Amino acid sequence: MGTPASTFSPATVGKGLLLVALPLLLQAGPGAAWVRIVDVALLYSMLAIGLNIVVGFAGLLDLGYIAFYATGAYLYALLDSMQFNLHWPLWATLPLSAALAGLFGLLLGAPTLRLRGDYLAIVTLGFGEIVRIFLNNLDTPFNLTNGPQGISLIDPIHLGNFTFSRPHHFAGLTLTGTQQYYYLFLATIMGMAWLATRLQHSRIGRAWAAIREDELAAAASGIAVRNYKLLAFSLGATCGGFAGALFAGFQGFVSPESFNLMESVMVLCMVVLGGMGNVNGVIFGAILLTVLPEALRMMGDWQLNHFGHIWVDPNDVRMLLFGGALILIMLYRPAGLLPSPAQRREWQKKLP
Amino acid sequence: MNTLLDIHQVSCRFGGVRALHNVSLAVENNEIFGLIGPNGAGKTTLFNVITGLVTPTSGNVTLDGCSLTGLAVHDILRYGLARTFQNIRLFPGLSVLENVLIGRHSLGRTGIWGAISRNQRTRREEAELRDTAHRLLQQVGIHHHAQTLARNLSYGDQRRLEIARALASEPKLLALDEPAAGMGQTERDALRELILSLRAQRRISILVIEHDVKWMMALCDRIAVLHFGERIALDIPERIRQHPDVIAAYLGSAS
Ligand SMILES: Nc1ncnc2c1ncn2[C@@H]1O[C@H](COP(=O)(O)OP(=O)(O)OP(=O)(O)O)[C@@H](O)[C@H]1O
Ligand SMILES: [Mg+2]
Repeated sequence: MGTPASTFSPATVGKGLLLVALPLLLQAGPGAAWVRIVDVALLYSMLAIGLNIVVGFAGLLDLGYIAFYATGAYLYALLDSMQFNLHWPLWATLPLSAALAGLFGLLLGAPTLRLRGDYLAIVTLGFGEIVRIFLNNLDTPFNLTNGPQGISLIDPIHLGNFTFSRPHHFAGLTLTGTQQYYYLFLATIMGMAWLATRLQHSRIGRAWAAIREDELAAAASGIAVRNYKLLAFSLGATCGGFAGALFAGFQGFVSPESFNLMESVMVLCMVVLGGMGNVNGVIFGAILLTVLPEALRMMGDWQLNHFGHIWVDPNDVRMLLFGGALILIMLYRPAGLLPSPAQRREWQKKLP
Repeated sequence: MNTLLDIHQVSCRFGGVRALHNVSLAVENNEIFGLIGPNGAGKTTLFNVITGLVTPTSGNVTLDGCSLTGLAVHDILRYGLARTFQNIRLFPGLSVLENVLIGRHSLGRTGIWGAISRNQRTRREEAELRDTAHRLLQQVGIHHHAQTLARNLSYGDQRRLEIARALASEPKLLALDEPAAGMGQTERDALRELILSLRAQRRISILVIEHDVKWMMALCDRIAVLHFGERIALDIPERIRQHPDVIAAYLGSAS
């Protein structure tokens, strides 16, 4: 989105080349597992971009965001698996998943319009749990979701004859499934980030910012607050549903457990840590919070190898780190690691 | 018809408090109309009623012949009534320029498609928007602060920004709730000049609340006095000064 002069600057070209080469480098270096980890990080980035529309742009707290991810994932799973022996094409399932999640966003948004702060958090949290509990229990009276077992044997993402999970040869290179997913996800994120940034710097983004800053003054400035809140909820949810469908195809398996409250909190942490309101920031937050735990897991394996016993459980360390990191951020960088320009300006002024 | 804003028999209760009682007044086109009264007289409540923030117990309000009763807050702005707040309500974390751009929201037409595609219509609209916003900032005299965050402005400049934001919607009636509060004497005089020039240039009506009676006398064409929710006087400034009920109300509230 830079000016023409900056679009082809050496730094930009370098970054672009690095992004293209990353899955090849990871495969050659730390191993295929890391390509997969980065794929997951990219899925979380999509969620962070979507939640940022709600939390960062419009200032509405949403603790049930993962429900939209679940909606997209389950719709894809139902339309592309042996569950009902349906195998719909991607051009139908992807938009449908996104649209259904967007509709759910409206459903969540409508009753919460008058709520703010704590109350909004509690209702959205409840919504997230309700969706999860429904998924858990919709195996009776009619088996829709397979209940706690979840749906397995989901078709991989496929476009015509091109199946993303199968290795393909390109110009003398063989790309694995996870590497091809990487490129698909990267392209999706670039698209989403572009759309989110365009919206942010428009009349719509300004209306969201006004609501975030002072809802009453926004209304008195002629902004139809209700419509813009619903729009934020629904666009955020649409991103979540889109990412969910990709996740289902990528993973080949979905179960209610993948969509618990902790996941919602995690995505919220990514947004807060990365810098609410800044699209690049929240992507950075998502990648950091996905990659860091994996590195910690390696630490557990390393202990096992060297001491034959896990002295420090990486899972505990992980929670400790998240908690600690969030507290430090709140104390020293309340606008996140990569704050939006307006917030950075403000914090620079406050520093002596 | 010369009347712009017609407030007819408006009453408003908050539990046991009778904030407004059968208040009627009419603001003419291109008039500067003052509203004075002791603390708690119901002045701000009257603003809240006409801008839709508070639903009156009874009575109705029309602007340019259109009834405002029951309309949503943002729709009332679209009908041409913009206001400022006694306890300044800017968008503190946004820049001064952005505050004014948001004030012009109702005149924009960019939707999702325009925002994403940034088509020619959107770009033209944004350019017009920014031009107007810069001009407004110049008019109220805080243009050099365009990129400053609203919360970092001085108190007086914040009040000026609120006026610019309200003007951005091209209102027919501008309602100012204690715009001079917290200002020094020179700043007050400058503000009065600004309000007079706005009326002259934009041909709008201005409804203004202020405690400084002397300042109001030099500004307003007519003044209404509220006391315990009732309109006890409505006249030209010279006669308001000598009105026995007004003198009693002010002396009564001072004792
Ligand atoms: N939302 C509300 N709920 C309950 N009581 C209210 C509310 N708004 C105003 N009041 C009461 O109505 C009365 C009138 O208040 P209002 O703010 O209109 O006075 P005012 O004339 O603007 O006073 P001031 O000069 O101090 O600004 C006061 O007694 C106030 O406490
Ligand atoms: Mg008041």
